[in-house]
Amino acid sequence: MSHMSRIEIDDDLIVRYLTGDAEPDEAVAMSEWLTSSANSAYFSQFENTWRRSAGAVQPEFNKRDAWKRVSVEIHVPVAAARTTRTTSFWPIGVAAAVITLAVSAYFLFFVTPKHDVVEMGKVATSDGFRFVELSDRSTVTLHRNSELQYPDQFQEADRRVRLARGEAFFNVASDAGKPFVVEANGVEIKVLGTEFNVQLSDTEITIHVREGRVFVRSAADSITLTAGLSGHVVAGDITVTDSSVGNLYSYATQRLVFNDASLTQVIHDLEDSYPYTFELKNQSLKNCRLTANFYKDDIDKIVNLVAETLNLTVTKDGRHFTLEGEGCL
Amino acid sequence: MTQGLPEEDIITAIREGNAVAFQHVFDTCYESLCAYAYTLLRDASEAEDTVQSMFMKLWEKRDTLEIKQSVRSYLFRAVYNQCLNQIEHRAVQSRHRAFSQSEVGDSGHDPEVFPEELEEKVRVAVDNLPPQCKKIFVMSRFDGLRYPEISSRLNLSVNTIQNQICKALKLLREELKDFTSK
Repeated sequence: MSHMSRIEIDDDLIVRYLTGDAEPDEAVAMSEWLTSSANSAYFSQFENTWRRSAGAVQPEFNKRDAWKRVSVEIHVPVAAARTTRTTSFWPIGVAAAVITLAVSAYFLFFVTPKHDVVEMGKVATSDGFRFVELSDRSTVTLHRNSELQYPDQFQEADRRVRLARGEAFFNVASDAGKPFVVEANGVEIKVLGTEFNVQLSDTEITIHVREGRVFVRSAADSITLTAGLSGHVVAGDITVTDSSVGNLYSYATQRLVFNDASLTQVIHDLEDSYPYTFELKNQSLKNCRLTANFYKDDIDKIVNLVAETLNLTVTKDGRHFTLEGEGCL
Repeated sequence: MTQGLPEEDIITAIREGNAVAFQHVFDTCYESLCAYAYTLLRDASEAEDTVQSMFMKLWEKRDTLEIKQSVRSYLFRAVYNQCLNQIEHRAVQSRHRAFSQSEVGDSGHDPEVFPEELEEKVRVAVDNLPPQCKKIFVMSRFDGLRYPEISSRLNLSVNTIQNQICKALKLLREELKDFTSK
């Protein structure tokens, strides 16, 4: 069991760190503590004095330049292996390529070598998320307990994949001559180049459109959805709702927006977007509300910030967080 | 650490030679590792060299990588060890130099001697610290001595050393208030 801040950060440790007398574990604790801007502001008062007292300049470390140097030494392409493909072939103007790239850096870990993806033409998840790049450079982020089937190469007149179960976020590369079609339980979702999410349950298929336009056709009905709309297909009937609220498909975009959201909601959305689980120790915590924005933040940073805002104590045990505190009225 | 990914997955990915995972760890930790190395070495480019070479070594021996603690703890410890080696190396070099130049005196712990380029205001502020506080601060700040060394030279506890340096910084901060804003 590891506590988020096992090592207490006090003035003594700050000073010890500056003078070069901090043990590695203490430095780790410092580096985590410093991700909070309030902490970092407090730290910089000491750092400033320490630096100025010897007329030293603030060192600047540039990780991009450093990575160039290191990657040459270890013979890895500067934009590491698998992302090169994604970056260099994106036609300019494809919807939200930047977001796709950000997501790919995150989820590529889950793509185990080709045999899983290409030869089987099928990828399935259980308790993790997964990022898949298709042969046309379209990308798919698979949620937990989901399965996607697709050909190694798109040789037909359209680019056809199948969501067999679960949920997936699609970023479709533009190809006007070759529509991209997702089949899900007998429903077809057809696009040219856009971003959208498909969620499959036993009784309903939900499609959220983030960018562009999507054509949805069931056996009995059909409709065109534009950005910000959701289509719900139940027993062949399609209804449309506004999808501009809430944190839909955050697991793919890594963007979380909380607007006076209850802590229960916050935890629900975090669990939906990160491979971690949460527990509220006291009932009174459910009354707490949070307003915050996160984009591509790591889980520790988010949890830290939430804890700091709501005055909670955090315990992290593997992939499980426990939150404790006075609660809110 | 890395964007909410479980550590085991990252370690496994690196062990399997996944360069994206490796780069991700690099991106996440590089700057804070350099900051730490800088506190130990007090030389920015030496700090960067040390951190980079640690990452190169890590990649070289990735198949045999055994990480029991968190990735972050592992990296900080590795950097710490390399910095200590580096400092040891420096000590050997300077002993060589001192020997071949048959003693130029000085290991510099004369509290009256400050780096020349130091602003007058700062010099005065340091000079005005209480005597013991000043002595200890100077040994740490300008002679680059670590707490245990200062402690044994002055025959004071490590705790005292730490308290005095902390006190010195707080006094200096007050003194230099208007000047430390940048």
